Amino acid sequence: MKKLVMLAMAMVLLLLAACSSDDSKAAGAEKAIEYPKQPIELIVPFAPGGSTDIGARILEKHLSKYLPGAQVVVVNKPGGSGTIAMSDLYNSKPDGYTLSLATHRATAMQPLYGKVKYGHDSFQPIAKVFGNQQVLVVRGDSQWKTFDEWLKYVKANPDEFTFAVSGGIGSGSHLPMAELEKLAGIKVKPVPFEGTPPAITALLGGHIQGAVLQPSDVKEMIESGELRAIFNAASVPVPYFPEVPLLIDKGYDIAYDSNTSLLAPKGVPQEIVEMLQEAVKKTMEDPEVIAEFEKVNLQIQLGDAAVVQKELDEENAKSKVILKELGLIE
Amino acid sequence: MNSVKPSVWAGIIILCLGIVSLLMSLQYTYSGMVGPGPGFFPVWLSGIIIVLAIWYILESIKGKNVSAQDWPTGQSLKQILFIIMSLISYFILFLLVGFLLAAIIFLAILFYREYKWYVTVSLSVGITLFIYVMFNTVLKVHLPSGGILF
Amino acid sequence: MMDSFFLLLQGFETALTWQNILFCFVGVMLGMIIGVLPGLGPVSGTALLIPITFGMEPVTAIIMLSGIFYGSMYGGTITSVLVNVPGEAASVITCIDGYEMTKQGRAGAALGVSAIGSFIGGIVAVVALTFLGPLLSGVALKFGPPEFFAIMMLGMLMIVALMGKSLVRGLIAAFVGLLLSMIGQDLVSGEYRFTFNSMELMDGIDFAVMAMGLFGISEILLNAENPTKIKNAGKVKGLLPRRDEWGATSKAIGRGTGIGMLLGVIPGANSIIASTFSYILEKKVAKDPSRFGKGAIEGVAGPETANNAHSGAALIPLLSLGLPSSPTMAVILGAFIMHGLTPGPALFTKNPDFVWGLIASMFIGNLMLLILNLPLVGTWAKIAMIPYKLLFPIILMVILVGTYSLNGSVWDVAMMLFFGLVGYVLKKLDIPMSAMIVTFILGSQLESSLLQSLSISTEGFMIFFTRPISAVIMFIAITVFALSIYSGIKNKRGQLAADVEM
Repeated sequence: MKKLVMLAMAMVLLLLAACSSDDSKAAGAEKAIEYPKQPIELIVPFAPGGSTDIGARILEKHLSKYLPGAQVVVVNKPGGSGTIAMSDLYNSKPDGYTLSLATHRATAMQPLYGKVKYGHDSFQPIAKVFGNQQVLVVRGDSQWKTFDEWLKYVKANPDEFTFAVSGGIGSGSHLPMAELEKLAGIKVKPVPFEGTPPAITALLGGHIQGAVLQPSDVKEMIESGELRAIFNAASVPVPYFPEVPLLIDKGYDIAYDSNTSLLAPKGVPQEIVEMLQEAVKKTMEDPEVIAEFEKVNLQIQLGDAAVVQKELDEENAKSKVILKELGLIE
Repeated sequence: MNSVKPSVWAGIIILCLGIVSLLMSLQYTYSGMVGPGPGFFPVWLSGIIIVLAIWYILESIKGKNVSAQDWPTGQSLKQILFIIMSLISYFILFLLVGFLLAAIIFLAILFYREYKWYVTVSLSVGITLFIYVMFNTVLKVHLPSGGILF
Repeated sequence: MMDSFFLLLQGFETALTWQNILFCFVGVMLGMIIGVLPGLGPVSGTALLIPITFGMEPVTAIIMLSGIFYGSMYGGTITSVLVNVPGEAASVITCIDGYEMTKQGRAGAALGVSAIGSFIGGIVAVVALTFLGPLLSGVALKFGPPEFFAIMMLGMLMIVALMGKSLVRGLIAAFVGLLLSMIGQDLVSGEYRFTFNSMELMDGIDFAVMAMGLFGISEILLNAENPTKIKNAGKVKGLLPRRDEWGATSKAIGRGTGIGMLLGVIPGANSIIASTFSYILEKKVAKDPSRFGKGAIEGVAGPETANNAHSGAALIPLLSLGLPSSPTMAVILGAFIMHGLTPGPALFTKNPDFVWGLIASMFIGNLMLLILNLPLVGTWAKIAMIPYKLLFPIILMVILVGTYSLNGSVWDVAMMLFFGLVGYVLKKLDIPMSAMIVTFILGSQLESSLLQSLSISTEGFMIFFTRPISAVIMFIAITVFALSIYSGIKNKRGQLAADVEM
C-alpha cells in the first residue's frame, strides 16, 4: 500500500500549496441583500495570458475588498473571437454569479456576422474598466520613419505592403486598415495570424512588413527601437506614446478604440447591479489596483453603464457600415 | 457476419463521411481574400478521403486489410457492452444527480462483480470523495454536486 | 560566455534561497500531479495555478510556474506508459512503445529511461539557453510561415510514409485527422466549418478529449474483451534498461536532445513535432526497426528526451524575444507581465538576477525531478501491478472527471466517450490512431501557415521552393513521400515501414 502513502503525501503537498495562496478574506459582512453567497464566475473570452485575462485576474484578486464575501473565479473561454464566451454569458442565469469581462468588439461587432444569438444590446453593462488603442507597427530598421513616408510608399507600391492582422480578415485589427484603404486610396495585403505573439514573431523575422496590434503588447519593443509605431487608429492618443499620430488628426475619419467592460446578462436584479457597480468603481480607484494596472500597461478607463451602452451602440453602427463596404456582411 | 468483411463496412462508413463532408465543404467559399478560402482545405481533404475510402474498400474486397484482431463475440461482447452501458449510465446520472452520486454508483457497478459489498461501498465512496476533494479544493475545478433533479 | 557563467553562479544564489527551493519543489510536484491526471495538461495546469502565485515574489512565482510546466511534461509520460492515456500532446508518441513495455512488465525501465532522458534533455536545453539563447533566437526568426508549412508537411508525410502496415490505412487516418481539425471557426474568414450549428463545436474539438477517448477508453474496452488475458505484469523488472540496450538508449537520448532543442528554439514549432521526428529517426537508424511498436526502448527514450529538451528550449524565444512558442508559454508570459516583468532582450539587462535565477532554478528543478522520480519509478510502476479489476474503474473515473475538468462541459465528456468507441473500432481495423491525432494537432497550423505564406507570396505556391530553408525541407518531404508511395506500389512496405503499428 505504498501507493496510498504516496497519494497521501501528494495531498499534503497540494494542501500546502493551496494554503500559500490564502488571500486572507474577511468573511464577516453585513447581510442586507444576500449577495454574494457563492463564487462569482468571471468569464474571460480569451486565453490566459492575454491583456483581458490579466485585467480580469487583477479584478479577481481585489474585488473582494469592496464586495465583502465575494470570491471571484476567472474562467477562460477563448475561441470564436470572443463569441463563445459571450454566448455563454447570454445563456447564463441572470443572478449576478456569472459576469464577463468582455471586449466591446466581441459584444458589438461580432453579432453583425449573424452567427450568434446575442446582439450588442443583449447585456446589462456594469462598468467600463479599461481601454486600449490599436497601432500599426513596423520594424525599427525599416525605411518608413513617419506616417507620411509610409503613406507615400504604399501609394506608390500598391499590394506590396504586407501586415499582420491577429484574428483574421474582418476582425477588429483588420477594420481600421481596411477603412484607410478606402479613404486614402491605397492597397495593402493583410496576413491573418492566430494571435499577437505569432504576428510579432513574423514581423521581427522580416516575413511581413507591419502589424496592427495593441500598443501594450509591444511597449518595450517600441521603447527599445526594435519596432516603430506608424499610426494610431484609436480616438485617443496612446498615453505612453503620445507622439504617434492619430488617423483622425491626419485627416482620415477612422477611430477604433479597444475597450473592455464588465457585463452581466440582462435581468440581474437592480440591487445586485448597483452593488457590483459600486464595488468595481471603488476597486478601480484603489491605488494598489491602479499601480497594478499600470505595471501591466493597461489603461484604466472607468465608465458607467450608460457610457458602455453608448459605446457599444456606436461601435455596432460604425462596424455595420464598414463591414458592408468590405463586402463581409450583407 | 463472414459474408461481408468488417473492413468493407468500415470503408463504406469512411466513404459516407467523405461524401457528407464534401457536400458541406462545397457550401464554404472556395477562394477567399488571400487565395484559398475557408472551403479550399475541406474540399480537398474530403475529396482525398473519398478516393482513399474507395481504395480501401477495393483492397478489402480483395482480401487485404485483414486485421489480426477478432471481433468480440459471446462473453467478450457482453463484457464490452457492460462497460459501455455503465459509462452511459454514469453520463446520464451525472446530468441528473451530479458528480458525487453518479461516480459512487458508477464505481459500485464496476466493483460489485469482483468484490464483497462492503469493499465495494468503501472503495466507491472513498475514491469518489478523494477525486472530489482533489479537484474542487486543490485544483479549483468545480465538480457539480447536484444535477437536474436536485 | 564567461560572463554568462558568472551570471549563472549569481543566479544560483537567487535560486538557492529556501523559499525558491521550496516553491520550485512544490511546482514540479504539482506539475507532475497535473501531468498524471488525464485532461489537465500543462496549459490548464499553469493557468489554474497562476492565482496561487499572486502573493509571491516575481522570481519565486515564475520559478514555480515553470516548475509546474516541466513537471507536467514529465507527469504526462507516466500515464502514457502505464495506462496508455497521454497526459499531454507530446506524450502521444510515448504511448506507442511505452505502453507495450508495460504490458511486458517493463514499466520500470520505460519510466526510468524517460526520467533519465528527460533530465538530460532538460539540462542540455537549459545549458543552451544559458550560453546560446540570444544567438539561437536570431536564427529562429528566419523561420516564417513558409518554413513552418514545410516542417509540418515533412512531419506529416514522414508519419504517413513510415508507419502502419498499409499505406492506405495510414493515409485514411492522417486525412481524417486533418478533416477533424477543420471543425470550428476558420482563422482567416471567421467562417464556422462542420459545426452543425452547435455552440460546442464552434471552437473545434479539444485535443485532450480526442486523445483520452481514442487511447484511454478504447484500451479499456479492448482489455475488457479478454479479462483472462490480462495478467498483471508480475514483478517490475528493474528500473534501468538491460545491459545490451544501454548503447542504443544513450544514443537515442543524445539524438532526442538535439532534435528537441533545435525545434524548441523556433517559436511556434509544436513539441509533438519534436517527439514525432525523434521517433521516426530512431526507427530509421535502428538495426531492427520491426521492434518498434512492440516495446522498443529507444522509442520511449528518444521522443521523451526530445519532448523535454523542447520544453526547456522553448524558454529561449520567450526570454530572449518575449515570444511564447506554445500555449503554455503564453500563459507563463502572462504571468511575467502580471508580475511586472516584460520578457525580451531588455529583461537580461534590466532584471539579470531574475533571468539567471530562473535559469539556475531550472537546473535545480530538473535535478529534483530526477531525484524524485528515480525512486518513485518503482512506485509508479507498481500501479501497473494493481489488480486490473480494481485499476480499470479508477482509470475510467479519472478520465471522466479529467475530461469534464477541461471546460466544465458535459459535451466534452460525451464527445470523449464517442471517440472511445471510434478508437476501439479503429484498433480492430488496424487503422493507426497516432497518425490521426498527430495530423489533428497540426492541422489548423498547417492550414494557417499555408494561407499566410500565400498572402505573403508574390509568386503563389512557388514561395515554398524559392526560399532556401523551406525549399530544402520541402525537398526532403517530397523525397520521403515518393519513396513510400513507390514501395507501397511495389508492395515492399516491409522494407521502409517494417511492421510497425503506430
